[in-house]
Amino acid sequence: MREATRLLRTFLQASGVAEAEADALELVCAEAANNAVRYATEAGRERLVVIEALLGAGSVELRVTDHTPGFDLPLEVELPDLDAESGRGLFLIRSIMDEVDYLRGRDENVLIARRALPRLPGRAPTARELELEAELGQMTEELASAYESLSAIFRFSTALGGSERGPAWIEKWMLELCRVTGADWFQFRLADPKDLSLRIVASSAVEPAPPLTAKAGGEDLAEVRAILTRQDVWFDRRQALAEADPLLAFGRRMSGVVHPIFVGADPTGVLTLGREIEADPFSAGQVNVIHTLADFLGIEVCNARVQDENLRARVLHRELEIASSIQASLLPAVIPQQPGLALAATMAAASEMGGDFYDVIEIPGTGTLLVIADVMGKGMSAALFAAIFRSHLRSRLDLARQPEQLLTWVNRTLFADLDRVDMFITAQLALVDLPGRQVRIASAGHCPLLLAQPGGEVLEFGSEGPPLGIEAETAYLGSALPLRPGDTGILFTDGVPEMSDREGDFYGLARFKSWWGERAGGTPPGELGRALMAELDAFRTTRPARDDVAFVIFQHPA
Amino acid sequence: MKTLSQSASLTVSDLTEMNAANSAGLRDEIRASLLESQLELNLDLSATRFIDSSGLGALIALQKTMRARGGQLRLLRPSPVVLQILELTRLHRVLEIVPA
Repeated sequence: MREATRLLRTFLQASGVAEAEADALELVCAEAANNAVRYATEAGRERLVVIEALLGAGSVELRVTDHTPGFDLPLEVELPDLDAESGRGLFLIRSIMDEVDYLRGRDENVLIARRALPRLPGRAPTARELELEAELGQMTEELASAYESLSAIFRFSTALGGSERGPAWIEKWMLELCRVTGADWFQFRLADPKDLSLRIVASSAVEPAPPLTAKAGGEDLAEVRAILTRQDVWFDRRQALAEADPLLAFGRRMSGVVHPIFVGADPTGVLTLGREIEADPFSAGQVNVIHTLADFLGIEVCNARVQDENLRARVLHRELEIASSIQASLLPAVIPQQPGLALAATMAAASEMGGDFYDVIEIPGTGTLLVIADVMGKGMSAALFAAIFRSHLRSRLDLARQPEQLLTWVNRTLFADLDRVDMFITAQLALVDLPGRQVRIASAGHCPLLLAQPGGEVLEFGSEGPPLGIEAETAYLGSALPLRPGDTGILFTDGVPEMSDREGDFYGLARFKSWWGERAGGTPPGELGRALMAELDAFRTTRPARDDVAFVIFQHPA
Repeated sequence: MKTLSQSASLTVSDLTEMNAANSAGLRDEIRASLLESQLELNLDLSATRFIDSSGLGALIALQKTMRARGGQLRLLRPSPVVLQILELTRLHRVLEIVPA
């Protein structure tokens, strides 16, 4: 670093700066750079400390860019106690230089220090040089105002880095913009990209005007015209506002500019800055600052909108993940097998989690209860009701001998909960009673059960009652099917017949029934289940399944 | 850095630079060179062409060292650059300076 400050000194002296001046400037530089090195953040240590010297005709400006957390530059720097071993650096900088600024940014700050120099000895400046100098002075002035706005951006984005991009945030910005450009009042309307309504979110007006809509025919109004033409609209003594223009609420002898904000092709908002004079409201430099800030605001507002959407999508995604793990945890880990009854069950969850559910419960002395259900709706609520349904069902297995009674009890118990949230559950129960050579079934608005007989005939046992949660006092009816050796039955959810192909056509119950008649006899249930999934996959081809598919297959071997 | 060790005093000269990079080292080196009998520390600053606030800090630290042992620190013939900074920071009020 000393090498850098020596280089600076060499440069200054080579440019004709007197030795004493060069000494002092070198010291200032060293002090600023020392601090920049000493207080650099961990990430900042990887970055360069930049030292710049700008030598003008009668002054010098030093800039040292640091990557420290920054500090508040006091207006007056006090000397530390005489016997303190540190704390004199800033004092030295302040004492040697005429003017010191410290611009704080995000991860980067700039110390700017200026000092007048005696005019360098030598020939008198040429006319061209004087002209250039005047031009430079003008540019510097313009730049200074731009610089001020940039430093404001720095400060605000640091201070408000994590906060919401709401009206208060926009208002702070607008006040800053008024200060920088010398405007007396402002108004900021957010544009809704869908219906092009322009709603005031920040305004100097005590009572903000109602929303406007930027549609053809409204061009009389400056804010609408700015959005429709995508151009600034100026108003002053020569170009007056229309009588109906809400901007007249700020007064009549005004001037100002209305600037539309677009991000990409989408209108994001429209901002108006006004002054209480009639002529020449803003200089070119100020307009430049307004445009820069407007672009910045527009991008921030758009980012905030996108972030909101992303957040919502993430929450939803997480919910689906949780729901999906609940759904999976409800299914039996092992399907019980016993002599005379082969069983298999499958569930394939669609990407948008539904509420399909199956269960296989052995009830000693009674038989094996097969359960299939479809909870209406998707996501978390469907998964939760599937869990509630399962635990209710399992709490009254004493009723399982008459599945219709079990359904009646579950419906009566769950009705209030389901009804309150407008949900319902379709379910089918089948109690396989091997010693009694029968299957007792009951259904609550669910798909029929198919039973294939050894000869290839398929029997269909349809729904008898409404879904659970529709009527409090439903008495479900049961029926019994004889179970003969070689019979193969399936309980399934509507994901099977309603599997759709690329054209949106359903697989359909009739097609399923005939497939079942051809394939069910003699094929073990596990293999049959895989064959059915393959059949459905082949049908839907490339289209992702919209709904869950679940089924339970039972077979009484011949 | 050159040192001249006498029974009652230590004189250090050829201190061309006292900056952030070397001041702490100089301070420690000088402290280590001090013998118990030496109650007078002379720093010859006539060749010093650069001193910053870290260098000033080292001077103050050495002064404290000397005071603690009942001795004193003297700055011999400080160069104009050094003198100017000492005056600017008003340290000429607490450090004993022996001009050229």
